[in-house]
Amino acid sequence: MGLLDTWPKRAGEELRQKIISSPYTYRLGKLLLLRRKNYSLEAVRKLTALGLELAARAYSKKNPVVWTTAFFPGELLYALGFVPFAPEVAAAAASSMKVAPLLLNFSQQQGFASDTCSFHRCAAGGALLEYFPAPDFLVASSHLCEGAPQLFQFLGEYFLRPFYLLDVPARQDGAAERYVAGQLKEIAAELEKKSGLSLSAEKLRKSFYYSNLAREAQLAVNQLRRRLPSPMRGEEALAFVYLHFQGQGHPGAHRIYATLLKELQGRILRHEAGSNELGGEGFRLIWLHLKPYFQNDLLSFLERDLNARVVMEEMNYVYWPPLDPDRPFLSLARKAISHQGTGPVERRLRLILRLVEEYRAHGVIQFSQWGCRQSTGAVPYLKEELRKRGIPFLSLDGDCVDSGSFPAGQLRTRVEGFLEMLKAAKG
Amino acid sequence: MVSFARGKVGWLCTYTPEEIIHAAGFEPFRLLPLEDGTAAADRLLYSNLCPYARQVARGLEDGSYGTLAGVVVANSCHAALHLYSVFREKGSFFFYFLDLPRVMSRAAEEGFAGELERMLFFLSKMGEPVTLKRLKEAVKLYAQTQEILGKGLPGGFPEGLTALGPSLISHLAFQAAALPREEFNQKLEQMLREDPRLVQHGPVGESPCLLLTGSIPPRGLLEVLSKVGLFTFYPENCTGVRYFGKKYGRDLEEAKTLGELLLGLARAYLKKPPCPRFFPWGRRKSYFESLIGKFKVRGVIYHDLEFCDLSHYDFLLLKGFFSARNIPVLKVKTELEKAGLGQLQTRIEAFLEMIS
Repeated sequence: MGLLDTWPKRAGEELRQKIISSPYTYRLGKLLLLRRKNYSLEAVRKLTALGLELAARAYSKKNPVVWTTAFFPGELLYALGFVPFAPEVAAAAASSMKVAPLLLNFSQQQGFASDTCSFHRCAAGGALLEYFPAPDFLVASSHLCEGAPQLFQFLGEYFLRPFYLLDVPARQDGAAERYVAGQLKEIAAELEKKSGLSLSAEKLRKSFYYSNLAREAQLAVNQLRRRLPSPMRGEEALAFVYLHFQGQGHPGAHRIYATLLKELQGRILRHEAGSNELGGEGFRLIWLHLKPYFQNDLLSFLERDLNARVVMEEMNYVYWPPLDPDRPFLSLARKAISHQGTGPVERRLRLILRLVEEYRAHGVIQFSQWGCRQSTGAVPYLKEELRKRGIPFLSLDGDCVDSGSFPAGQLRTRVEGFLEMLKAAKG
Repeated sequence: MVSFARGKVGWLCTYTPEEIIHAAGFEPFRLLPLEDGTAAADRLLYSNLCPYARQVARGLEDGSYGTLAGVVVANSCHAALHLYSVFREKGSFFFYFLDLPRVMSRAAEEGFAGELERMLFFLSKMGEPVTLKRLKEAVKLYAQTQEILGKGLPGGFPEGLTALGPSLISHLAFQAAALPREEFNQKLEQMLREDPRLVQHGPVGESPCLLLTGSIPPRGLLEVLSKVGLFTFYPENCTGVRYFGKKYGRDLEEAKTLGELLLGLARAYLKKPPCPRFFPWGRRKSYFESLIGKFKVRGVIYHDLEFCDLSHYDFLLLKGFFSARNIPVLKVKTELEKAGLGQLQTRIEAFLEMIS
């Protein structure tokens, strides 16, 4: 039993809150991390270090902290000099640190409905109990779900801080681009006015430069993952989704992808030289949505014990064209409306079909987060459409944050059954 | 009287402009929660989605809504989006998706006007060509409903809605959903002249008032409220004011082109009393402040729809708003089911006793 297993019980509530909300915790964590050797990938170590550094900066409150939802353009926030803090990411971290049950319970006591997404309920608990750094501003995008903007609106009222919504239409055309670009321009102007920080063309150019570099490196990583056998496990890859949430426009993101690229190239070279590092690859799978963040062995059971390989995740897909620094707002708007999760689910289906083909996958697994109307709500449609096309599909009902809503044994049985079905179909 | 040779076109969200459907020769038909309150099976829509969309899915599948020429689904939430995806190729009728902004701004109005233009072109293709004249006539017809309400209700519209009481509001909502508008307007005039159920009370603002807000209510909720009397009643929801309260402006009458008319229509819809889907909350807050200024609000009944994020978060905000003003709020959470009405009545009675 490690420190993480017992500390929520041992630390008193006040002390626990103090530890979590101190920047020194994250700085110390980063120092300890740099000394650890047991990372399967150096890129994961760098990724964790970036997460800890951003958390330390948010808690130190030296720069204005802006709370963001997934997929709000980070490039704009970094160019303005803000420290972005993503409560949804913090909820995942709270889950891995075993603090989520406390936060979930608290939010439920405060009247947050138990049928809403646990990322948001946990984030609400973290915000109200002051586990999170107080926001100076809140920005949300309506890209994916209704819940996050609604939560942010509530929290904006609670903290008496300005909240801005980026309304992303379902349509993908020039009018939609101009509509989103106009809003981004207005939000940027408001943030400048209220924070006293300024947004120059040069700062935006710089953050676009980093964003484009990261994009290129991630495209190269994703290209390598198409190989047989794939050089990376889904369990490893899902950690990098963090960069889609908080790394867009950050100068460190492209270095992490570049390190990852080099490491995967190394794995391939060693494999070609006869090493068994990549193992024999069984069935190749596409993973939809996220993963459970508390301690569990679902993915390792799937990939190590059952020898299947998650070769690509929808959340790691590079869905946007390169950013154009000469037309910054229009370019960010194009990125926003390009997301596969925006609008009717047919768009998402088209991406899944493309991934199945490009990554030569044998099947698709969706981790169905209870409370997610966008992703889980689409399961019956996806199931039917993939069935029509002869693509095996498995929906695993569970929860990414709430370990109490994760039927581990049942999920293992379902995964096993799914792979047996794939085996039988193969003959 | 228009004959609607093109058939009925179903719609769900009150931001769907019935005027365009009407002008294309279709009869707008509101797809309300089903009488038996049973939702569709999980194979159609996932069980974590709004029961209203799931009931509509069931109704469309088993023909409970009768024969339809088509359905217009507005982008109200993910339940509506998924309903659209599931049915767009399934039914024997067309399915049209109407995108909807989430904010109020000039750009949102213009964007919504563009969406209405696309809808107009689509319906013109499926039905009859919508001309400036036809659309103006339709707008006039629908605006007439408000005029009738304004003239017929003591205290005018919307304040005078309190004179209707829950049972007439329910009746009105279902009639408006099911009848061609000309016929509905005639019946409405007659009802306001003759119906003995019209509540007789003092001037608006003097009688104690109960607000009903939140999501679309189950059919039984208004019946329950009609049994428990005592207060005047203001239906701040999408079978009440949010449906009947479009802000038809003079720009609609004065429009010289279809483009101007559609922009006016977009404004009329976006400026109606805001629903929980719209940002920023400040607009909804000011709206409730104005209601408190107009009525002697003694209590609020909030209908929180299971699996509806919009109503869950709206409730949290409104609860804080009313608590700060010492106005008690009763949350009623349902799945629009028929069962449990007895229990609901007991809770509402206890609440009313407390605030009396």
